[in-house]
Parts: sequence; structure tokens; C-alpha cells
Amino acid sequence: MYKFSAKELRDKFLRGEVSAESITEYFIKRIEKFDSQLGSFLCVLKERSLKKAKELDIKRKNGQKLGKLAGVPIAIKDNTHIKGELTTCGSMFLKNYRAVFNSTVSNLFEEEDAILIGKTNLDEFAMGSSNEKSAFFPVHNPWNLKCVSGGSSGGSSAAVSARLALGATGSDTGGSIRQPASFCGVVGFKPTYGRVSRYGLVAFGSSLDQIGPLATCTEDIGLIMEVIGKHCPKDSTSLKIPQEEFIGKGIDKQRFDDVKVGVPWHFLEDMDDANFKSFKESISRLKDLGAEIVDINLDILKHSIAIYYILATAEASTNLARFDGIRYGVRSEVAKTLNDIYDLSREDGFGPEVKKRIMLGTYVLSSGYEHAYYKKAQKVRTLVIRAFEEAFENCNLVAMPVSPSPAFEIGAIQDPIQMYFQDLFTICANLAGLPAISVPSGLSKDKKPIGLQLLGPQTQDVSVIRHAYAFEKFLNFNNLPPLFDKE
Amino acid sequence: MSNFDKKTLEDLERLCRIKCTEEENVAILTDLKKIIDYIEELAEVDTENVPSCRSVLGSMHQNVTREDVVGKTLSTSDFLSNAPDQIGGMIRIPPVLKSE
Repeated sequence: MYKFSAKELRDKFLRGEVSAESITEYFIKRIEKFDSQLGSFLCVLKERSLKKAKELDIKRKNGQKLGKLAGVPIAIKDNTHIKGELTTCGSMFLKNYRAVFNSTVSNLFEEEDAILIGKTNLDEFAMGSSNEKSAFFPVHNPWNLKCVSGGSSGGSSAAVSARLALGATGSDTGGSIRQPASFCGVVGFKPTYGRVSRYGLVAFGSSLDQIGPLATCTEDIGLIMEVIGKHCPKDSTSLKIPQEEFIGKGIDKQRFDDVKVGVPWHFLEDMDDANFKSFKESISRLKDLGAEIVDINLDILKHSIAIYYILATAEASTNLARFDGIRYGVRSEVAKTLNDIYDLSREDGFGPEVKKRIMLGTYVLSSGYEHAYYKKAQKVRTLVIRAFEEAFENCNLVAMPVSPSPAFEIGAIQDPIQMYFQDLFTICANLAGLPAISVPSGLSKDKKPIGLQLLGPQTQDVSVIRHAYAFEKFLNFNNLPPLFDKE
Repeated sequence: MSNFDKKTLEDLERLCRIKCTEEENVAILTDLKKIIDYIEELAEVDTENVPSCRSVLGSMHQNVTREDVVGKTLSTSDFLSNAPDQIGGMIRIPPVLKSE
């Protein structure tokens, strides 16, 4: 059963070939059997998912209408609320926090009859590029257990890669869906800013955050986007875009004819050899599919990391001010005064990376430094947006690598700047609010997955997904990790 | 090079309401110095007459307003369900104006 896509499994359920209960039991068993090697789940919603499955079986038996994701096991990143369940954000601060309301995405999944099977591991408050910064345990890569799964949605990418769930959500502030997707050989999509509601997502960098799907194939990404890509009045940045068909008619004939794909060759000069070689091979495949490759200038992106670590930390320092030990989360047991509660609860609750980022964010916003850092970064962000606007006058899509190298070994990167460089090619989509997808493009010499990134202009989510589908189909890459290609 | 030092870090801890252990402080100071030196590269970018990015959505950005109506929000018991300490339907904290 693990070899099916979400759509195939849904269709089998709808045809009555398999019950929702047996699907759910099967995937729960798979998690119980395999996840001790991976650490991709922080909790498994056994009771909730089996209850939902039984309801679905009754609905089907009674001939009632079933949703677009009927019977499909979906995992939710543990910074997104499912009412009544834990939302830990991978942090000790929220280790016992139970959501008192549903996120919009959880609502939409449940309305379309998906089975929410568990909550996935992440870097604490989604701050990290390797999942080593989870306060609980790191996530291991299903292709090579010594390696990281990427971050911050590394629990979701590992779970989907090992087929412990057939789809998952991630949140992407600087590459947190796409980089782990590429490290684990699955597809990950960051929609246009505002395309998916952030209501019920614990905020990190609000002008950059976007929820998106991870799945085993691009068709499932489209299917999930049809479910979660809806306007939401509870998120003031939610876009009012009419319901779109993401895959649909004529998809099998999708190619790149008459499509100009821009590549910022000059910006990519300093890449790791293996990944650059793989990227050039992917560009050749795009040409085979009919694309015209044009050179574009995105040199401004060399400043992406500096802009990002000013803006994202500034926003994070503000967003994380709410964790004060008063209303929810941990409260220091030794605190005797109100001030002690703030200081000591935050000391106990936050891990080093989170503390560091809150401090950096506070520093760049503080009097005397705001102009040099925060305001400057907002201006350079405008230049990034303009550079993409100019680029899209000459091309329909932009192609870039996802990350500078394939998955690295756990513990291999200690230097903070080197770790931040993991996001060199992904941050730009967040800075400019663009839709961007990571789709598997092959394996490195040492059998680690590599991904290709396609970016489109704002609101062109459908075009990005359909072209990624064409690339994926043409490549026909088997993305099942050998270690987990078994019952 | 930035003039970020131990004193700046101590000021920041106060502003952020975070206390760190001495050991954590050493590591955070080293890292933050490196990061701040790195982000200073932005100074070389010419941003004269470039406006700040107000919204990444540009012209698609809209101010969203709604009617001010009473709706069903969180019940008191739901709201208090995650509170670390409570008494009589309220959150309990140590004395603010009068400490021991």
C-alpha cells in the first residue's frame, strides 16, 4: 500500500477496494515499525485518525459524498494547530500546549476527509535548516540515516519520503519546505505569499511565512493545493483568488514548449560541483522538454542571507514576545516575581538557536541600529522584488538549484553562517513572495537526492506545479528510499 | 567589524527578557559577532531613492477590515486550559505591586 500516491490510494478507497480503517491501521503500523530510525513524528494521532477512518467507512457505505482527500493519511507539521492536540513547535516552551482551535489548513483537510495521522518534528519554532535544532530529537534522512533530513520541515519530508504518510504540511520562511523536500527526494511546494491561510500556524517571520504541501509526487501537490489553497477571512494577508484546478485536463501533454526558463548563471558560479553538475543536467532536460533557456541577472540575491537574517529575526523577536510564561507554555517553577516569570520561563523554555535569533532580531530593531540593519534590509528587499519583476519580463519561470549541496551528516555543520548558506537559493522566493517548487532531479554519487527548484511570478502557482509535473514525468525518477522500500 | 561585545549582549538579554547561562553566553556572543559582521555587507548596496518594502504583495495588498461584531471566540475554560496557574477562572501570577 505504501507505493501508492495519495490520489491512487484515495481512488482505491472510493472504489471500495480498501477501507479507510485498514489504510489508517496500515500507516500507523508503518510509523510504529520505522519511525524509531527516523524521528519524524512528535506524536501519532492514533485515536483521532482511527475515529475519522471509521466515520469515512460509514459515509462510503451509505453512499454519502466524500472529499478530495478521502482516506489519505496526512501529517501536519507541529507548528500548526489541530484542535485538542499538542502543538509543541519542537520547543520545550510548548511541550504540553494543546491547541484550543483548529488551523484553517487542518479544517480544510478534515472537510475534504483526509486522515490527520500525526504531528511532525521540526527545528524549534521552525528556526533551522537541518532539524538538528528540535528540542526533542533530530530527524534522520531516510536515504542515509547518518544524514540530516533538512529543515525546518524535516519531520514532514522524512515521513513522506519513507511513506509513513502520503502527504504533509510544512511551513516555509526561507526554504523550510523546499530544502528538506530535496534532501529527502520528495516534492515540496511553497505557494505565493498569501495563497494558503496562516491562521493557526505559530508565527515565525510573518512577512515571509507560508504553509505548503510535501508529497511523493507533483500530482499530489496539486491535489493538496486544491484543498488548502483557499481564501481565508481569518488571515488578513490571504489572497482572494478563485478556486483553481492545479493538475486537471491536458496535464499529460504538459511540456515546456514556448516557455522561457530564466537561469541566473552568474549568481550560481560558486556552487558545489556535484550539485551544479546535476543542475546543468536538469536544465538539459528542460531543453529536451521544449524550454528556451535564457540568462537572467539576479546578482542581488547574493545579499539574500543578510536581508533574511535581519528581517526574519526582527519579525521573530516580535512574534516570540508572546511566550511569557503567563497564559500558556512553561512557567519557571522557581520564579517568585512577575519579572522572574518572564526571564526564567524564557530561559528554560527556549533553546540556544531561538534565543540567538530573538537577540539578533532585537538588536537589529534597537534604537541606533534600526537604520543600518532593519530599514536597510527592507530597501534591499525591494531591490530583490524588482530584480525578479525584471527577470519575469524576459522569462516565464526561473530555474535554480534548491540547496548548495545534498544532505550533510548530522553534526557536520557547526558554523552558523555556513548553516544559513543552506538557504542561499530558497530565501529569495520568500523575500519576493513567489511560488516555488522543489522537485527531485536525481541522486548524487553517494546516493543522496538532489532537487530542482522552479519559481514563477506571484499567483502563478498553477503554472509552477504543472511544469514541475512535466519535468518529473519526463525524468521518471524512482524516489522511494531503498531502506524503506519494504512492508 | 561591529562593536558587539559582552556588554551589548547583556543589554540585549534585558531587552529580550531572556537570561542565559554563562556557557550559553560565550557561544551566543561568538555566533552573534560572526553574524553581525556578515550582515553588515548590506552597507555596500546602493539603496538611494529605493523605497522600503511595505508589503511583498505590492498592488495585491489590501487593507482588510470587518464589521465589529460579537462572535463566538474562545470560552473561558478553553482559554485557561493551557494556563500554567489559575484561580477562580483567572490566571494567577505573583504580586506585581507588592513583592515579599
